[in-house]
Amino acid sequence: MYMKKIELLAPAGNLEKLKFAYLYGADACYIGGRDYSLRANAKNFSIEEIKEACTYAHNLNKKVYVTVNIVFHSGDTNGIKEYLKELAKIEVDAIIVSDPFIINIIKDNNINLKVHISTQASTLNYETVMFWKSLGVERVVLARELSKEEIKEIIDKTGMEIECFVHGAMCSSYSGRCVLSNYFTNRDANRGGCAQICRWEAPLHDSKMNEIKSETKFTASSKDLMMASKIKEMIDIGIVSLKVEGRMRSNYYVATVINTYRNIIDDYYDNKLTEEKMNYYIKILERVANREATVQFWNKLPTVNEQYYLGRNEESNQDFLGIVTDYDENTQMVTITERNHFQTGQEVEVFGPNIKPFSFIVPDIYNEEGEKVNVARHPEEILRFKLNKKSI
Amino acid sequence: MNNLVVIPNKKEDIKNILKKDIHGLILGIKGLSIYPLELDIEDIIEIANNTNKEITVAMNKMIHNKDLSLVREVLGKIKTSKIKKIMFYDLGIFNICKNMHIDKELILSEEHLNASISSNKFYYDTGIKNTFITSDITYEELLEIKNNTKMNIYYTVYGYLPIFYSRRYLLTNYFKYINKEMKDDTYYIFNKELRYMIKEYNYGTIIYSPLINLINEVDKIKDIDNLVIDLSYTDNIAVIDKFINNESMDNTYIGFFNKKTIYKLKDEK
Repeated sequence: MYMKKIELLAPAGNLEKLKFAYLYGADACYIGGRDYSLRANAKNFSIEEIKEACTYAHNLNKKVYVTVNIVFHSGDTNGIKEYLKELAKIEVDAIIVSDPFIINIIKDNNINLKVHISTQASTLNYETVMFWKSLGVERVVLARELSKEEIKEIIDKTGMEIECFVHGAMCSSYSGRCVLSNYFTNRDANRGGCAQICRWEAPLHDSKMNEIKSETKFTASSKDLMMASKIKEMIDIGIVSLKVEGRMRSNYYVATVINTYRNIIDDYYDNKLTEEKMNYYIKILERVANREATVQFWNKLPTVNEQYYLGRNEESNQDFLGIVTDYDENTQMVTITERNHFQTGQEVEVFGPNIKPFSFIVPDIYNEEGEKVNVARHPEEILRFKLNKKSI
Repeated sequence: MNNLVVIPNKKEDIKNILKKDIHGLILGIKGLSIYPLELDIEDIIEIANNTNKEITVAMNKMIHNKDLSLVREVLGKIKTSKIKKIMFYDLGIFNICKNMHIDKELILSEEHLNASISSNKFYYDTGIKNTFITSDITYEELLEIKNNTKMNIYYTVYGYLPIFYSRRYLLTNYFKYINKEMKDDTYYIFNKELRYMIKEYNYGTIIYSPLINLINEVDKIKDIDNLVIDLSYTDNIAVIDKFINNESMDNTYIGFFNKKTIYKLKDEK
């Protein structure tokens, strides 16, 4: 019997990240246009870039979903109909919305676009899913506050395509019900300006306005989500798509996280997902993360163990040094496009979509003119060094 | 002329409030609302039976699967009662109302969503003829919605607005982390000298805005159908008379009434 594999859905803040995501195993990417999309700080895509993304993806038999998920104010709706028509013309595979009037624009104007409901709408129960279904919505991205049993009941009772988050940062509030950012910074949380106030720290005061004395201040900050150990259960209950958060994350992050989940999913379907392998995958995910992660609401309500009280603590424990663009078997020379500082003598690691990661000590480094530089300090500079893969 | 609608803070206040020149009350249902005053549906039906004022029930909690049977049970009782309107946040409740053929007026109360003319037209066409409009937009945007839709609009002019609603027990977790006893039922954080109340409930944690008071601004929104005085966590029943008598007050906080939030996407263009 043919079993349709669960979709692995990656974030892509720009074209390069999108290509990385597909290269490392994503089945689909979600991207934002320059307008109407949350994540205002991501570079986002022009119409031309969305077109290029679709062409690139469809040639690989992969999909592109475009977020149109702000909560619109009246002044924001100008041009939306034309934009949706353009997206249909480009043949994006679906749009992700939180404001339902978009659905009516699509219907009223016979625009050929499938609609996914964004997690920003905080869909929590099967009756709400049935409401979306009655409007002709194809898929619902559920709220992140649901347990396995709740998700399973929703799938069983609605028969809808259900997408769930599998990895990345969490909102501490139900999405859509938080405007702390508006009040604290005047930046509109529901229109892409969230300043992540839930991660701020502040002294807590009791009802008599006495400060609670503690070295640790109050925060609503949540640890991240990591569902690697629950992939089998997520597949078994019928979720159709696993979404990785992070349109503003680095190429390195997207590549590593997507590659790891790709391996977990494939190993599961191939009956090769051993405990040893899972431990290895989790180790990889923990290494790329700069915050601790848990399964959050999957099997219980979060406790103190799912919260962060140690400041933002987002120092990266690894640097993405560059992209290997060539390896000459004869001369054993590696060509790399630099992204971050590194130098001769440092231990570095190479990883890729179809190779097992390996480490080595950086030998002498040469620039494009063949001059020995030994320190890589210019992003985008083309550099070379010798590497005998057989000796590793 | 606006209607004044009141959300009481305590059950014992209801009788007094109903004597005032107001249009009606919004009352939270036990287990389904986020208001401190939650009543059994039977109590609300009795109140509705004994007043000519409009009684609305509120079911504005985040609704999970396990809450749906209570929603159906309550709606079944409302169906044949004198309760006039049903206020809700979760669109699943609208779906149930349709399926149960509930012939009551519905009020959508999505707090921070439903902020445009287009969205309100959508919901009106879907069958929801009443809506709370978010306090995150300016009064000019509010009036635009009023003037360009058929919606019967509710708008909060007094009260603490929920501005963050989490399923997590954030106070319990914090006190556990710092190894101290949580002795109070209300806590606060400050930002730029403004005070934000934090309360924890069995369904999660809510952070509230500073006390919004638009008493000096109501002339600007006289076309808005219903002005809501939310007395939750205040004992200031006297403020109802001040609104009725169009009095003014000092040192009021008006939130985003005349201040636009930053839409960063536009700013970056």
